[in-house]
This record gives sequence, C-alpha cells and structure tokens, in this order.
Amino acid sequence: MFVKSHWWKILCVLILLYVLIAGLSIPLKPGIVGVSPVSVTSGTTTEIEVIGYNSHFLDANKKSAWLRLDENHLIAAKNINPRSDNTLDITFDIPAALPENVTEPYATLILDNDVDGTSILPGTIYVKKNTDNGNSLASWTSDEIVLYETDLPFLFPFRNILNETIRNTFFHIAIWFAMFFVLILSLIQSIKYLISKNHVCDIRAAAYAEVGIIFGLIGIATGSIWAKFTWGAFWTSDVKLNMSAIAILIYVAYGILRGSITDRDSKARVSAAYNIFAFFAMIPLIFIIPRMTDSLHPGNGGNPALGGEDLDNTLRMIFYPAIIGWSILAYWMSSLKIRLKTAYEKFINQNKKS
Amino acid sequence: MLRNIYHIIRHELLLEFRQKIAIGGILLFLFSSVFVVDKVFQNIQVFTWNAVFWILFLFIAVNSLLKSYSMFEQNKFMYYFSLYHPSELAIAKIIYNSLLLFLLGILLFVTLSLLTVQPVKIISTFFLGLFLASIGIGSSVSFLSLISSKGQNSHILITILSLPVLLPILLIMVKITAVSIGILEDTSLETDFIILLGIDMLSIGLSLILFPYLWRN
Repeated sequence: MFVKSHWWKILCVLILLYVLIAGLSIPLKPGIVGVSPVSVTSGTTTEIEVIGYNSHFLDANKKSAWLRLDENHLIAAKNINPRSDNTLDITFDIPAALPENVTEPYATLILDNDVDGTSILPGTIYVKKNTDNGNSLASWTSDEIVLYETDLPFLFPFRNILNETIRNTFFHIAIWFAMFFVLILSLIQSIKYLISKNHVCDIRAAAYAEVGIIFGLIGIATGSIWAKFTWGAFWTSDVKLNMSAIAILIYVAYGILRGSITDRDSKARVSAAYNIFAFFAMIPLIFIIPRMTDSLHPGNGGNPALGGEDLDNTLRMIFYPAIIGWSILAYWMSSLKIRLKTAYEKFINQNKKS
Repeated sequence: MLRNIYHIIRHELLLEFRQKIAIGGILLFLFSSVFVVDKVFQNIQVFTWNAVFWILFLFIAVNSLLKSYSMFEQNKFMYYFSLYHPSELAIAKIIYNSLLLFLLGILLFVTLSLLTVQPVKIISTFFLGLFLASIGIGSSVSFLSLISSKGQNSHILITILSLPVLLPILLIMVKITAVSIGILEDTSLETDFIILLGIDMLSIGLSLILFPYLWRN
C-alpha cells in the first residue's frame, strides 16, 4: 500500500542519489589545462610545455601532437618528451612563413595518445611572424590527423575554462527546468481557478509559485557560483542574469499581492489573474530579450546552449535524470505545502464555526 | 461597440477635467521633478539625460494611472457595469491611458528639454518608441492598477507589481533612446521595435482576456 501510492517519492530519492553520486564522482576526461609559452615564432624550433589534467603521459606508449592553424594547415610535433603524468614537453619546427589568408594566427594544440585519447586546446598558441624569415625547413601540411584507438571508461567531457564545474549542469540547469515545471503547474492551476472558481486550485497555485521561488533562488545561487569560477565574478550585469532576477521579483510580488488582500475569494481571483499576467510577461523577459542582445550566458548572443559539444552523451546520462529528479522533488515539496495550507484553512474555518 | 468605447473615453476625459486635482497633481509632479533634476544635475550628460527621462516617465506613468481604478468609486463601477460590456471598458481604458501617457511623455520631453538640454537627434525614432512604450506601459499599468486597487496599500502594491513587468519595455526604450541620441550605434533597431510591439500586443491581449474576471466584486 505504501509503495503503491508513494512509489514516485522513492523514485525521486533514487534518481537524486544517482545524480549526486554519479554526477560528482565520475572523473573528467583527460584534457590540457595550459601551455607555456603561449606564443611561438615562425621559422624557429620551439619547445612547448603542456600541463595536462587527469592525463597519463608516462603510461602512454604511442603519442603524437599537432599544431593546427586551420583546416589545411598543420604541423606534427618533432619530439614529444613526457616529464610526468601531467607535464609534457613538445618540440615543434615552426615553418618560416605563415600561410596566406590566415588573418588571426592562433593555433590549436592537439594531443593524442593511446591511453588518454585525444585532448585539444583550441586557438591559444599565437604564431608570431619572424622578421628575418628564420631558417626552418618545415612547412605547413594538410595531412589528415590519424588518431589512436582508445577505450576510455565512462567519463565526463573536459572543457577548457569550465573544467570540473561542468558538473553544475546537473544542478544549475536542471533546477531551472524544475522551476519552470512548477511555475507552469502554478499557471495551470490559476487558469483552472478562474474557470472553475474551485478554491483548491488557488491553494495549489500559491504553493507551486512559492516552491518555484525557492528553486529560482537556488538556481541563481548555483549559477552565481558557476559564474565565479568561469567568468570571474559572482554577479555580472549580464542580461540573462538581470532578467532572471526580475522573473524572481515578479513571483515575490505575487506573494506580496496575496498577503495584502484579506478577502478569500477576492484574493484568489486577483492573484490568479496576476499569476497569468506575470507568467506571460516573464516569457519575453527570459527567452526573447536575452537572445537579442549580447550575453556571456550560453544560449544567448550566438553562444550555444544545450547541445553541440558541451552536452555530450555522458552528461546526458545524468542530466536528463537530474531534470526529472529535481522536478519530482519540486512537486513533492509543493504537495506538502498544499497539505499544510489545506489543513490550516480547515483549522481556521473550524475555529470560526465554534 | 466603437460607440460605447468612444462614450467611455469621453466620459473619462470629462471626469479628468472636472476633477482638476487629478490632472493638476500629475502636472505638478512632472514639473517639480523636472525642476529637481535641473537643479541637481547642474551639467547633465546625454547618458544621464536618457536614464533620467525614463525613470521620470516610469514614475509619472505609475502615479497617473494608479487612480485609473482606485478612484473608481462603487457608484461609478455600478454605472459602467450596467451600461457596458467589460471588454469595451478595458479597451477604452487602454486607449485612454495610452494616449494620456503619450501626451505626458511629450510634455516631459518638452519640459526636460527646455530646462536642461535636448540631446535627441533622430526625433522620429524617439517618438515612435515613446508611442509604443506608452501603449505597453499604459495597458499593463491600467491592468495592474485594477489588481492593486483590490488590496490594501495600493500605492505600494502598484509599484511592486508593475516594476518587474515594465522593466523590459524600459530597457528596450533606453536602448532606442540611446540610438536616437547618437551615443549608441545599433543596426538591430527593427528587432527592438518588433519586440516592443510584441510586448504591447501581449499585455493588451492578456488584459483583455483577464479583465472580465477582475472588474466586478
């Protein structure tokens, strides 16, 4: 009996445990954290020190490295010399001349070995033009990059700048999805109230909106921590951030409106109307305006959001369950709130009668 | 229907001028705040001018439209209720409030320009934006003032309720004004106008749909 009616709560706990344990304990794929020097001069032989992350440079038997300017211009490494598992010295013969029609000579470093697989440091190394043309015999080639076959275990992707914070995908983004889930439930209950004038709908709408505010605040807090480690500040005056803060303000205003009306029916009617109005006013705020203006936040101003390389299949395995788990948790929290509110109203009505 | 809307607008206009205190209060608020701005900012920069204009416009809008329902005495409610359909009343209110706001905006622009500086170079862009913003702010504030008139402390409530809703309109208008002043080069002005128009349609549509549920007690 207990399991029959409460199976979704057990499911919620299991999913969230899975998200927390798997999401926080699965390591990242090997990647490149940094290189020094970050600029090389054409026509010279340069040794570049590469600092890896989660990498096994000493264990690898077969290693190769490339410096790639664009589709048709790359050079292979002359010599690769690992110093430890995380540091590697690579020697390149930089060709004397830069290829024509390359305006921004930022080269991408590609490492490959048979243990770690491929790791890429995109567009970081600047190729300086040598004034006296140098004396190197090497030249840019358009060879194809042949990668070694590796069988990596289940790992999260490594992204520069994001590094370990990529795990916040399961919290920041998933919690915002859960917030929208309860806010849409609140909207539906408000519409239902205006149609049916059933008081239960009003209680439900209020409870969902309150839980929505809590999830919104958690979403902002997790996003703020993420911003600190990727953009360098807890709060920037980015459009998406401001608009999200306003969206929270709208629902706080909804709470204040409910508090300021004493008559029960009038309160239910007015707050249902405001809830519908505010929800639709929020849509241009969050989804249209940030996309029209420049923004650092993914999904705006030309930045990719969910998709592309940022959300690969390993992240999806945790991300989709995380959305479901947090949404069920939000629903669970609001169901408790609804029970509390209903009990409170019953109590008040009984006291009035006696 | 059009006849009824015209009647309500005419009635509102008559009431507005019969109770001179209402419109007089708004005008006094406008002139005194412009005067304060002139005295406080000795040498106003164009960027500040832009900000000050829209902040003043926002508060004039909220203050002038707050009375749009809270001065609705019970008798007047009954009078309208017996004569007109709620959507007629809503449309009339939106048209009346939007035009009132547009006129107040022009008046604010003129007084602020006379007392401080007149930085706007592309007048047509600015006034088209002002017109669209008046419709958006007028329709949403008249709806929100109806909501806030149901609660206690409607003065505070209207500010709390309207600020987050009006903010996108204000942000777009600050950008459009900056373009018309010439301090911002922008090629996507059309999309801004389209967003503004979209927000206008959204707030008019929502107020028309939700008005019948709210207006009678």
